[in-house]
Amino acid sequence: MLPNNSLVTAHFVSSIEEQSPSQSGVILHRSMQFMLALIIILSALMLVPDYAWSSDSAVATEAVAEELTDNKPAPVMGPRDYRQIGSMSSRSFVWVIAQLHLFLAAFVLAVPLFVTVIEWIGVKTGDQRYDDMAHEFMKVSMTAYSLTALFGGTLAFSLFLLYPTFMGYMMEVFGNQVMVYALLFFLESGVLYVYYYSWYALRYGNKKYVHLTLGVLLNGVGTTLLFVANAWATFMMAPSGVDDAGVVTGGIWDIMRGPLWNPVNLHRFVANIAFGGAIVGAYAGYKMLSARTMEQRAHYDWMGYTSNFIAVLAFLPLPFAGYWLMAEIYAYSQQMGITAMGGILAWLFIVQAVLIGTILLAANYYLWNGMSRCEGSGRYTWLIKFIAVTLVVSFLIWVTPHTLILSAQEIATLGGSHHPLLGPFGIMPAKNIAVNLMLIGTFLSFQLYRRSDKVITVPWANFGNALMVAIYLVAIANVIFLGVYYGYFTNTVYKVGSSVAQVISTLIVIVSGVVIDTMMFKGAKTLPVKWGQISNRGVYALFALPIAFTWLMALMGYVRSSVRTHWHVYTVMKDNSVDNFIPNIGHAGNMMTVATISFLALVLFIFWVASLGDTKQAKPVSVPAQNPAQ
Amino acid sequence: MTTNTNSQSQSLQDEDLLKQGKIPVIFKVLSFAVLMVFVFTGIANLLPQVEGQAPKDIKVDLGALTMETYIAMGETLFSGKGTCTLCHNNLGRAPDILALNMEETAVERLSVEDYKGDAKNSEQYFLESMVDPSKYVVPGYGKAGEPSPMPTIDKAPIGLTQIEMGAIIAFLQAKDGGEPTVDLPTDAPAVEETVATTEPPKPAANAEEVLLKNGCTACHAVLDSPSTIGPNLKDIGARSSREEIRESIINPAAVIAEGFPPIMPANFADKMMVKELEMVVDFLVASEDSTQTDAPKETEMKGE
Amino acid sequence: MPNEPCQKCVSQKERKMNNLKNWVLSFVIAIAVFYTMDHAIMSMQGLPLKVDMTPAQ
Repeated sequence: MLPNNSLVTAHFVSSIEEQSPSQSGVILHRSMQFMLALIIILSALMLVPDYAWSSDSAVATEAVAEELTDNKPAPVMGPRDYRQIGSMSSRSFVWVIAQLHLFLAAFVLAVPLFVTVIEWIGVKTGDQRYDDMAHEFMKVSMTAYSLTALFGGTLAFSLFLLYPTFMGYMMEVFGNQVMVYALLFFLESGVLYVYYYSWYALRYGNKKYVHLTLGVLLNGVGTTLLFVANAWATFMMAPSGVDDAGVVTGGIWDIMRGPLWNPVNLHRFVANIAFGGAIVGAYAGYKMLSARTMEQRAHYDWMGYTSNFIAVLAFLPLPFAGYWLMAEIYAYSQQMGITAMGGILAWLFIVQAVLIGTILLAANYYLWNGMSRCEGSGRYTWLIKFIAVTLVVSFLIWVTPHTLILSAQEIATLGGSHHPLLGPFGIMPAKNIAVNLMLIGTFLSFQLYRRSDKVITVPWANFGNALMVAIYLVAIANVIFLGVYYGYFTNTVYKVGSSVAQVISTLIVIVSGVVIDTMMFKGAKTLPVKWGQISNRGVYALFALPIAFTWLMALMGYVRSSVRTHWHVYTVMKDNSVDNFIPNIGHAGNMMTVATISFLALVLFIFWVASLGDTKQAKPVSVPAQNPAQ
Repeated sequence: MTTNTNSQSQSLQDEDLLKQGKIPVIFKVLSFAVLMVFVFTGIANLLPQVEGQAPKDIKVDLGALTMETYIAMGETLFSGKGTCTLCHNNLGRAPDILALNMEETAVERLSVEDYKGDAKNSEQYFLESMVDPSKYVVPGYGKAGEPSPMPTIDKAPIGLTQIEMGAIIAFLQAKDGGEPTVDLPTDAPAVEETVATTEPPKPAANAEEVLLKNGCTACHAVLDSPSTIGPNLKDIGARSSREEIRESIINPAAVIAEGFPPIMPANFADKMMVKELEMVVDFLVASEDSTQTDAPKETEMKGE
Repeated sequence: MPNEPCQKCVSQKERKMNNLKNWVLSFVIAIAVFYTMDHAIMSMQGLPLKVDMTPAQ
């Protein structure tokens, strides 16, 4: 490399230093506020009392009742109601197509969400780099958009071809609502293209606010699209607005606003952001590894860090959204809940544990490696090995299965279907301890990372540090005590009750950590951050994250869909096809892998097309005119 | 993980970081991704592979139905198609029907003041609690003022028929030694639904085979096993009644023998066929003396 | 920490004492917070905290 390379780096580093003091802090705060606001709005939506709709829906119900007095019940499905393409399993075909459509749609809906936030941060901080990054994110999602539509169309056609009677019934139930969806899609496309192509036309001053408004509009339409489509899936899981025989009795609001609609809305919305963040993180990671200059590398390092930050931040509230969804499923039908959590699908949660463990380990590994960007990180490196050991041990406990189906020979060798030593690790209290310790450990990594570029100057720094250490230690002790004592020495009710206190312990650590840090960082001195100074090995965490996310999404989507067991529309329309059984986990895993690898190929195509736009062919030099001597 | 980078090694490190290596980045990243996906797939394939079959229509010859087979059918339905054991187990979600003496419990419930239903005897009470579960919610379960969390059994998604509910009532009445009062179905519907398992199961030939198949010998001293992980079963017949033994297999957590860890799997009742369960119970009831030999090999056992 | 206020006017011993006070106070606060939280959460679920080590039934 040429000597001026380090000059470029130095320049870039210093230019970042100027703006970096509260850079990550700004993103943290802005995006946290944004997420929080959205979660609050969504929760509020759920809490809107029934009478808010009731006047509407009462009228609608009457109108519908008059209009459609000859409503038909859900058809009873026979062999003639199913078709096949050749000898291919219809379920497998629709499975992969639907999964690919959902992957792409999640990505395409999520990217504009954080792009608008990043664009807004750019306006607020006056930092041009945010704007450039937002635009680059958008560019990646443009190709994905048309692919989403293509797979959506293919999915619709294959459903109508392979499940004509079922789709007929769905059309009867949802009626004109599907055209609203189509209309929204037109609107989404229009706003998306204007938003993307007007980026540089509406860049400064008041025009920028016009552009930001477009971004908000785009996300409004996109999120509505998501919610409209979610209603179809949640109707199939927990039908509302129809009677026991499937005859439509309510208006479209009654049909859409089933018990699971809002929980799924929230869960998908938040998960999409995590997923989208992880994918663009991989994009940045790839660009970084193939960078030829330190300046490029620094840019993509920063971009990867930001994407990863978005992904992990959105990932953390997901368990709570998932908990709400599961609670609503139990409230709707205990049977459905137990089928998911304690029945045949329960094994899938072992796989889920492996995936979430992978995600947490990758996120931590990335943070630890990223600490090498800051000179001040040397103060904390001794702690990393303890966090690493805690994470790995907790992870192993978490994936220790509870009961294994073994042959008699294996049981005899093992001395019981529970291992005498490992057995106690397989039960829920041990897993609760493990999960909470993993979350606490991850937050500690995150906190150390944030502290590694700062020198704290507030006068009460010693007390603040002592308090933070005390909170960590007491929280860990509390989590372990609650788990061991209530988990192993008292009855089930206490076991469940104490797990709530464990989760609250973890939340106290996170909340107090954020609060104490925010107060301690006031007036803190900032050490330089050298973007690009992260080992290439560390960058691979940026690939591990989206792969695990993608597979996890396929897995949880499968669970969500499978809890219907042998019903197309739960309790209303039986699935009498040859595929009405729940396949074994291996088969399901293979299907998820087919979907994930296909998606991987599509993502590569998307990245390639995105970089194609930057590639300019050199103008051919007119050779014959001058013929230099050789 | 070297974090203390000093400025001297700075430019050198930059060069190292930008080094592309011989293998193209795209290839490395792809291999990494595919490898990860295969690890996840591998884990999914390592777990127990079970298919969940939808209930299938099976013809039951009503003419050949005896009260015994009717009770057995009820027991199968109770943990199978009826999905009763999902909640009615020892986890506190709903009354633990298998642990309670249901005949006595029904009489008790009918006599309490809060009971507002129309049932006059246990048969009617069982039926009422299935078709109209909110009529009477047992204190301590469900939420005040809200309908019972129990689904209506003759409606979707469970949708048991009258005959099937009758079988369950017969099972509930008979399981604690009572006499079923339900009438055997004789007439009309020739098509009857029962639960189909993945493969038509073949019952074991004798109790020994059942014990070995289910790995009982791994923990318990029984047959020629000297294991002390679980209670000795060679003299169980002398210590426990037939009902207690059956209960301990179906619902091991109900009574944990002192000094032993509560680790016995709760799913043996699901894995065994009714016939197999009864064979094991019969066998254990007969095992009365630990010094006597049930099998010739057993003599040289144990150093407890 | 290099930015301790008024480092000169505080003797070594006093600083040690201050440090000790910091730690003790911190742990007292943390333990109080978590203990109260345990109590609150468990009693909200109708489960009074009890330290009774008899094994589960």
